[in-house]
Amino acid sequence: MSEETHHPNVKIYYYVFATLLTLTVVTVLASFINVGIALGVAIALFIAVIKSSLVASFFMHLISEKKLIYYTLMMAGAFLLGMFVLFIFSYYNLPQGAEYIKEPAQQTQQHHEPAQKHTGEPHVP
Amino acid sequence: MDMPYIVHPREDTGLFNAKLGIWLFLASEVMLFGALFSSYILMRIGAFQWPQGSDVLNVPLGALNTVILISSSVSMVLSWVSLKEKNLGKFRLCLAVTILLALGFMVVKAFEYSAKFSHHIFPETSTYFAIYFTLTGLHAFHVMGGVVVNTYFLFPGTKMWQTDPERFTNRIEVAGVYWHFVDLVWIFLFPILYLL
Amino acid sequence: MSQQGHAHHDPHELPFWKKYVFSTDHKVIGIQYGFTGLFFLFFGFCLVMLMRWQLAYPEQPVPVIGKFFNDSSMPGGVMLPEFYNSLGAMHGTIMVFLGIVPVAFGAFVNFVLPLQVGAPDMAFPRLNMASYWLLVVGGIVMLVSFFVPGGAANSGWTSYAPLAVVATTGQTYWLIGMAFLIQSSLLGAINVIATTFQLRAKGLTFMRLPFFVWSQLVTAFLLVLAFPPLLAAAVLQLMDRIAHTSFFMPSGLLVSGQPLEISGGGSVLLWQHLFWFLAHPEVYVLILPAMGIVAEVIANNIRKPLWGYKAMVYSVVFIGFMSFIVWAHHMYLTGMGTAISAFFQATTMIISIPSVIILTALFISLWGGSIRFNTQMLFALAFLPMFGIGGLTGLPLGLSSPDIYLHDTYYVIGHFHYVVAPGTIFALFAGVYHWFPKATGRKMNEFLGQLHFWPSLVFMNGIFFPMMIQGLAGVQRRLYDGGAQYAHAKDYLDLNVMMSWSAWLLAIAQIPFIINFIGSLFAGKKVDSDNPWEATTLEWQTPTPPGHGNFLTQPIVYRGPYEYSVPGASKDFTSQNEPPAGASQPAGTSQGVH
Repeated sequence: MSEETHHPNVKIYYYVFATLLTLTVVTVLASFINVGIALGVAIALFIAVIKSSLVASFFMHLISEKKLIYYTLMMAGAFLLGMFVLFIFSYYNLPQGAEYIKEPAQQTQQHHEPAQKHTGEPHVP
Repeated sequence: MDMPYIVHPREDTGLFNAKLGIWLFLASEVMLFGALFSSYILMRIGAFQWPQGSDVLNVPLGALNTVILISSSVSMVLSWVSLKEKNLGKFRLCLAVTILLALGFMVVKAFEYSAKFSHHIFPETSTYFAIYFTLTGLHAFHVMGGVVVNTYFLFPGTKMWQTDPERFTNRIEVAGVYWHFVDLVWIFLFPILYLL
Repeated sequence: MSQQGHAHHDPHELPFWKKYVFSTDHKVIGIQYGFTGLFFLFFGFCLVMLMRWQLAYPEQPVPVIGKFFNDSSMPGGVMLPEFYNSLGAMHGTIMVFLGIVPVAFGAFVNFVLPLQVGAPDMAFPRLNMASYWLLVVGGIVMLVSFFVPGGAANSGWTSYAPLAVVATTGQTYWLIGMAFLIQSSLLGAINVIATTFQLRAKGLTFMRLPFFVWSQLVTAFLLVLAFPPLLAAAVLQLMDRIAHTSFFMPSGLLVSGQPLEISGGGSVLLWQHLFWFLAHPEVYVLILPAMGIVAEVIANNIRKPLWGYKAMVYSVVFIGFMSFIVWAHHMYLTGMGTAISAFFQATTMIISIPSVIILTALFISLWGGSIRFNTQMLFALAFLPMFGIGGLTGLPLGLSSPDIYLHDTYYVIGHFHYVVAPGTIFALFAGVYHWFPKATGRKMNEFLGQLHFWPSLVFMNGIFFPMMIQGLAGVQRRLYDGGAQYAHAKDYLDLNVMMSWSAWLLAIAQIPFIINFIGSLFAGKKVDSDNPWEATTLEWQTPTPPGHGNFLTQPIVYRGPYEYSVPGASKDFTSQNEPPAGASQPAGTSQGVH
């Protein structure tokens, strides 16, 4: 255990708590501002990253954690990032001339029926 | 030969065993929820239309749940602090508050789900609701797991405080790390599902 | 033991069910994994032997055992295509997740690793026990699935959507079973990593670890980080099947001419990406422990240090990292663009390099060695060219252009079986012969070992080499008649007969092993020392079998893992914990627990 955890500084937990509550309010308010989807996602994720960093660093004591933990988490983070990037890349990179056909979603009115009809897996005659 | 480093850390890694164990488990949980988030991304970029979260979900309730979980994180870490201060009574109070807040979260979620079901909105209704129910459902499953573990520590588990207080303190710290992670996932879930 | 403070449980006081059934001792758990894994390897082999009848003699009733199957699977003893598909899907699933992983990772890592690092047990013994029983539950779910209406899962071990989503009930059992198996591996892997980092003996630095420990450590990291996305995917597919969501179901899908009543909008490729994100690292999970075992057996039986230990360590770590970014070489034919295909092709080519380094280092190690050709060494030596063939045949599959032709043909089946069957399984056999004396105090019989090895080697090649030929001819995989309906396959159908007979004879060749294994447990030649193979690593410096807690006091390691034939030493091997010459022995050096 680190020096910090031997004598935990309780005040910092309350500061972090207050900050988290404030940022929650900020997130909700920010969502009302119409800036388009790309910027909206960026702002929301930016705030979420700050909040989660606060939780991780102070509540989970990550800020004073040992190197092995950092390396493990960095590996998970790197592979996760690789997953995101490669999934998205593979979606957008198509053979020349190919394009997606996006159809309108089926109307929701149809769906109260399946909720009553199906009792098991999709029926295959 | 006794099992070393259960209570005191090993010199070169600086960790006691369970600390490494829980972070490894959380690394796997990061990959689990990360895979679900990447599914969300693919579903959304491939969708013809995608509702804005605030149009179909109850933002005030979601925000309330966010506040509930953050508060439970604070009470959880305070329960660990109480043990460090050798205050068993305060520990029990803080842990009980954590559990109650977690149950409160589940109540709010149950209310949200039943409201959706009564409007004939189910996971099968659309890919948006499919990922909404799955992500929040799996998260709620993890919340219940935390409730079970914390309840065990609040009642039968406290016996260890009499025989091996340092080890018990470590256990609460490790349980806390798990609990904060559950909060952390929600911190991402809330804006992604409810606001965007 | 892990009990708090001083209250040791004298193992002689534990009741039978706590000592042997719900044990938290890593050695017992390792043996449990071993027996369970061997049972499933045998069961999975039986599944494919049944398939091979259909491939060699399509539409002929299966002799002798055909009458035990009911009309839903083999009416009149003739295999239905649906049943063939079930056999195929379950053969793959069971061999990979219930056979190889429990033996290569579960059994060997549990029995050997704590001993090799000088630990009293795994870091989390009760979690270890839970991992084993989760495996058992998963296995039971998989076995039960054969008896549900519609039979076991029949959409391939890869369970691609949308077929798997609309498939029969057995697929739901597959998904649930996989959830248990994934959890089992996850928790086991956490234990391995924590044990290796936290419980190494004094003086056992990372570069003094036996290569077996390195390979299992990397394997554990793969399991921890790669398995969860498959768990996520299984949850999503379960939602698709049970809650009728459309994660993997595209719009406008017709099944048997009828539109499905689902929302649609899902992505079939999402399943493939999530599945292969795990399943590619999974194949490294299958091979890395085998490389670890082979390294130990070779080092011990050449009586000299391994050549290129450092290169092997760096290579195995590099393989671990790279294995996460090669997965879409299983998806070249899904309509990915050239840029992303080129990316995955590049990473796939790069990952072959460290594998070659490891294989080359093991080959070069043989040069100048004083080689003992006992049974475990024969299997370990055979691993090298067999894995070599497997690896080389992977190259045209990893390149996107030839893969256009070879994808989904028997070439693929031949490739991966070469790596796993005469590759990994031979390594597992080597491990069994090698570590049997440590676990039981008896040696397995050498003559029966030779009787096991030589026919196995011949018949393994008899099964899988013709697959390369069939694959190059374009014979597709997963065809229940072995390609009989296709003109381009006609000239190669005779090979099916040869392959099937090789498979059945391979089964007969395992009989000496089964007799040897069980017989030696009771009547094998007792070893006269704790270290009958004169090995250097720590597991051989304990009593046989090691007692509860393994070591009385923590051993101290003074040197690397392969100090064989050290010039000037009195014996041709120096164990890792032998104090340096001239140093006084610490009091009470009897390190092991009796």
